[in-house]
Amino acid sequence: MKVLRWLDNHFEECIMVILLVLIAVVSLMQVIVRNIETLPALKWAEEFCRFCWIGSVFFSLPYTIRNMSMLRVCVLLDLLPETVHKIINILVYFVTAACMALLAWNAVGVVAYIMKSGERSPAMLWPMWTVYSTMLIGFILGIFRGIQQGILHIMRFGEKELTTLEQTMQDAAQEAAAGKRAEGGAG
Amino acid sequence: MAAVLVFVVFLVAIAISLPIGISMILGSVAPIFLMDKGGNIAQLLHNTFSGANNTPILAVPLFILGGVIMAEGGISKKLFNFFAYFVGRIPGGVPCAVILTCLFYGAISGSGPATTAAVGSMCIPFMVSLGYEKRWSAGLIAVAGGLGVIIPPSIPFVLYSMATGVSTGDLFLGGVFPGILIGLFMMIYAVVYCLRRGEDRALINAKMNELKGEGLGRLFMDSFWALLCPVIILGGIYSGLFTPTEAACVSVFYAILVSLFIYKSIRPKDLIPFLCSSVKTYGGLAFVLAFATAFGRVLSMTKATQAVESFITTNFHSAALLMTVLVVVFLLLGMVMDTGPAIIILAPVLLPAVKQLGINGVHFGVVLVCCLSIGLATPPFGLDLFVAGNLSEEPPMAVARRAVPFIVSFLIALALITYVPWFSTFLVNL
Repeated sequence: MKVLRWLDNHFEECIMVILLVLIAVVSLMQVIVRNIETLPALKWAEEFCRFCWIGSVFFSLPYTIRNMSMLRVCVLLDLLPETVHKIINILVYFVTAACMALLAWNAVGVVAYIMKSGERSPAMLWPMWTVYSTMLIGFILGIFRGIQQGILHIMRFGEKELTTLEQTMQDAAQEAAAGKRAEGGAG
Repeated sequence: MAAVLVFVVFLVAIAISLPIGISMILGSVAPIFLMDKGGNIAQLLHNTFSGANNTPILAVPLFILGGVIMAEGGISKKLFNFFAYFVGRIPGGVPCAVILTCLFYGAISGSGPATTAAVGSMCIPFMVSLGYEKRWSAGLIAVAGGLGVIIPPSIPFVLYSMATGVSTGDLFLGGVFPGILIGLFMMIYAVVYCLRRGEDRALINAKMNELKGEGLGRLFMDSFWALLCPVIILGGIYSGLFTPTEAACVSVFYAILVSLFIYKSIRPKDLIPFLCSSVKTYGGLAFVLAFATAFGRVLSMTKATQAVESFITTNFHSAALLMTVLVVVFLLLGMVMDTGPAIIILAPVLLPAVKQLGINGVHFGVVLVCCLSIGLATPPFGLDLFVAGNLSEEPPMAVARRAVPFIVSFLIALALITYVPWFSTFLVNL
């Protein structure tokens, strides 16, 4: 149960952190190697980092849906009564899940097509379908996260929902606390 | 017709608060399902993939990570002491030092709210102790904190470069003078305000003497490593030692080394929360980026981009008039929309049209980024105002009122930047 809860909260985050570390470390190696003339250039490094970023991009879909941190413009929403506001919020997650489903369905064909073509990456000679499948995985996780958030929003229908203003106040308080810590930390 | 459909579906989806990325998907698939135009979904997915398959964009997560780590080093006090040493004694010198700290810190951290929070938590109590009004101090930091992101290395410029193909290095150069100009106008207002209101010179001079007592050498050494960060990044890019993406990577490891071994402000195990917080910062943006390229292709396939271009070229005959209208639109948009997505959506659609009227791509990018950035310091949802309000324990709207003159000084500088392309293009053409 504990494992499941951790995965629910941190699975996508964990993958994105690992990918970020890989991007940072490998591109540092590349910078160093490129500036030392005696060493052969790391041809694979640039491609590897790019593939890591592709992974991050597609994992960011379920990640942001799960954390409700998708970038939205909520000005008009705030003008509506709270009940309508909540209903729209629930619909947003189901529409998101539906979009992810549509893309996932079509991505299956794309991955299969690439797999059949036997395309390989130019530098590392990776089969390209493996890279394309991060797209499919991202979409599929996105479906689950969208439905999960939609259901969570229905279950919490009775609770008060934050308006954009209140949400901004909350974000500001977090930023302020982080700023105080950053300054206090060094003394 | 297909073009209208794409725009209508996209804008309606944004208006009913669907996520920007989802709105792009809906806008892209609408002509496919409803009119059998605009390609097919498999093509859309290929375009989405090739949009993500991009090296320059790697600069964004790396700059964000470098900024998060460097910002933890308590550098705002070090930067402030350094600047105050030079300008603290002139009238209005303390607020000027705070503005300089915000601009530099913003350039290093790359985040407006983080700059406001870090500089504000140190400088607001300090300014109040020297007799400056609390709300005024908070207003100053809210505006200056939001504008540091214009000064390179700057993430919005990387995004603009990615969306339009204008060189990141040129944009960074283009942002230097406008950044200085905006800082200068804010400082002029601060000095005028202090001269008219009067300052508690005895108190301030006592503090400044304390600072002098520490000696320039020590202050310089303290702030040296923080000041060096933008120098290494920009110097590295322009000397050809590394690309902007590599510079971003160097900034990460520079920040780690300085924070771990010189400032000793972090421990190795702190790195994990920094990584998580970086992921959180660019997660939302990556979602939008994933679909932006595909959406852009749909816009050009349905001839929507051409429609915008011909609308602009038939209705506007003067570059100055067009820029005026666009600046107003950007300023309003910046108030309700995040900078990143706004740049990714607007830049590729508008740039071909503004180029027709002879406006330079770097100049346009600088104006776009300046306009959107101020949104962080303007009501209704300017996060910087709320952060400054929270730190000063004053209502955000009261802070906003005191921020107005600073916003006006920004607008005057913006007018100069908009109508005199020289500020943005001089260093690039050098």
